[in-house]
Amino acid sequence: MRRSYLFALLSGLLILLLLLHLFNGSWDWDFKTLLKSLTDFDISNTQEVIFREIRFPRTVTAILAGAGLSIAGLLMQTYFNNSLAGPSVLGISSGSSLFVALAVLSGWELLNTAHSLVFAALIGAFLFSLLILFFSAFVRSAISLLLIGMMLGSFTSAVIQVIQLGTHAERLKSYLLWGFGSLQQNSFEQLGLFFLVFLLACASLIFLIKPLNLLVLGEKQARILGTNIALNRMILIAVASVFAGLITAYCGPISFIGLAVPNVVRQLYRTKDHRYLLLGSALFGAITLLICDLVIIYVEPFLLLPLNAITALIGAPVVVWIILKRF
Amino acid sequence: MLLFLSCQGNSPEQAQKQQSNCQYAKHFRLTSYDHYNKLEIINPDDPEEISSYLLLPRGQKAPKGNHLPIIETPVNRAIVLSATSIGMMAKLSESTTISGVSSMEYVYDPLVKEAFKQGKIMEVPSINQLNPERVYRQAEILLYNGFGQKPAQAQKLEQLGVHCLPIYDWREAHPLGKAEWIILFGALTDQLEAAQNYLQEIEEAYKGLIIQSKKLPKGPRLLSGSIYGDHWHMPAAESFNAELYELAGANYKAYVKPGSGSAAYNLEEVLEGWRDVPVWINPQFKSKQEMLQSNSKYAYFKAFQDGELYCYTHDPNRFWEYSAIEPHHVLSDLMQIIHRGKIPEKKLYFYRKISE
Repeated sequence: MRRSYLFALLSGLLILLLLLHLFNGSWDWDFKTLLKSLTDFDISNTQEVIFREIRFPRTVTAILAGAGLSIAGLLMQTYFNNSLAGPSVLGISSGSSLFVALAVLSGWELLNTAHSLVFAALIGAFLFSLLILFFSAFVRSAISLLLIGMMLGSFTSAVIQVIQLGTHAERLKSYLLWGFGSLQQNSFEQLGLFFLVFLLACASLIFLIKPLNLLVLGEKQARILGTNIALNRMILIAVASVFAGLITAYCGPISFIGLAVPNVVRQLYRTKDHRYLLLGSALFGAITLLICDLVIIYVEPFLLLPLNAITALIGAPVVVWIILKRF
Repeated sequence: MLLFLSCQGNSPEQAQKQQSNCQYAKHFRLTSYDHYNKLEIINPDDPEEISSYLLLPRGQKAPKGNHLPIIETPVNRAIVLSATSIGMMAKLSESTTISGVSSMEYVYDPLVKEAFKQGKIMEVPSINQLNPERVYRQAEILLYNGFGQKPAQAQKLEQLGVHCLPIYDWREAHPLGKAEWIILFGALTDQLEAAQNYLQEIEEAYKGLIIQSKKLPKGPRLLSGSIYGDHWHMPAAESFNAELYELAGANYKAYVKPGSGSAAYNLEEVLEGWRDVPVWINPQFKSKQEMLQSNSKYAYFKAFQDGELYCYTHDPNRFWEYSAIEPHHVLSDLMQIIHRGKIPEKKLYFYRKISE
């Protein structure tokens, strides 16, 4: 009963925030223009251009990114059996960052465009996922894999620092701006691929619910109960990598959401059943990122805030709370 | 350009005739005495902080009681870390005096490029990672653009006799104030008269253009800048660029936020306020294709659709080296762009229409 109420509450809140975000934080809603911009787009009407090219992609990106990062975080936390794991621990985001750094800091104009940055981030995430999958075939312990992921992160940070040393200030600034994270870089056309890959990754979660529920008992217990640990581990890492890589590619590295949201959802739902935890993480992640972006919209006339500053301001206290509560 | 100031008579040094050589520049003063110059560079953020030097011709004795650091002129080897400084040296035919730059990638001057090929010029990519010994071997002075901080090794360099001078031409609000910094370079290289003559020429040309512009009807509205990160940065109403746009006849200031730097807008605000503006200046791209690759939403602007996009990006290094010292060409270009078809057509000097 409690879970049904929670689901209804979170869904209602999500719809309310979605509308508020879509109308740029204002209560003055104009559904007619919004629907017309999506179904019968008139390029000469500036309001329709604003809805179709700016507000709609930003809102959809916030929902997909918030949901995707939270799901990836939950997968990592369950697999590593550690509340402080997140989408970045396997080095997937680091792979994206490295390839974006190479594209931006190399100075090749061809590589420094919106599309090529998405492409570079996807390539980076994909290659680093392969690397992690390769290691996972040899390493039995989840902790060892976690350490390898952290080492990959340190390694890429060092490489990026070396590249930055000889880079011109303008290019360095472009890379730093990418690192702030953003929900505003996608166009209406770009949403199609983003949404499709997101849906495919979500669909694959159906096959992971049972193994995830068994993994909560620990790897040994899960194996005794008939789970193919090696296979499920590879699927789990692959799905988490797709979520993390996809979102880093389209929005830049967004911190704390993947770490903080699953922990809050566990407290809210008080269950280890991943049917609820996955759905709850997706809803609460989308809600959290919409709230973060609404804060940016509201304070924009006075202060330009980067997305990562807001997610950290909200996420860091949550992480401290988890540490104090659990350890 | 010369402004006679005063005669003082308390001491032998003070009794000598003084001339201040600056009329528009606010962040440096050069006072000429009989056989030396006194240079004062004023920190724009803290006018109390003044770096003073005595520019003394080689072989001359310093005046009695002098306590200022002495720079012997003409300076034969100078590391110049800003593009405008290279342009000013070049205008005085002193490119060969340059012995170091920040990065050759951003240099236009052919003589500097040639000297680099011959190994006569060093690159100084970061002001905080200077090797004092190398700099000492390479230069007598180091001119940096002073983005609020001295080189980390400034004290060691001063001990070695290499003076580090901040150059604040970029903080001057008046176009002729920026250009007037050529006086400083003239004094350092013993080309003061040539610098003054050049300034007089461009002042006449610049003022002539302003008179011409005032006689023309008000021009169209302008869109300026482009998206950087999540925001569109446009010159604010009291900024240097906004002033130039208005002087050239554009209807610009009334529509932008107040301020002396750049103002940030979100894309939605820019689409609502500037979508139908006919001319777009300084989008900072080389081609329309490059603009679309960076952000496809640029295509919704009328100026983009009509191809009325102007920038200096076909040769940015030339613009950054010479625009400060040739403000009359910048103003003339802007007038040509704003009053297209209403004034006699003239080939653009710095600007070009952005290609497809």
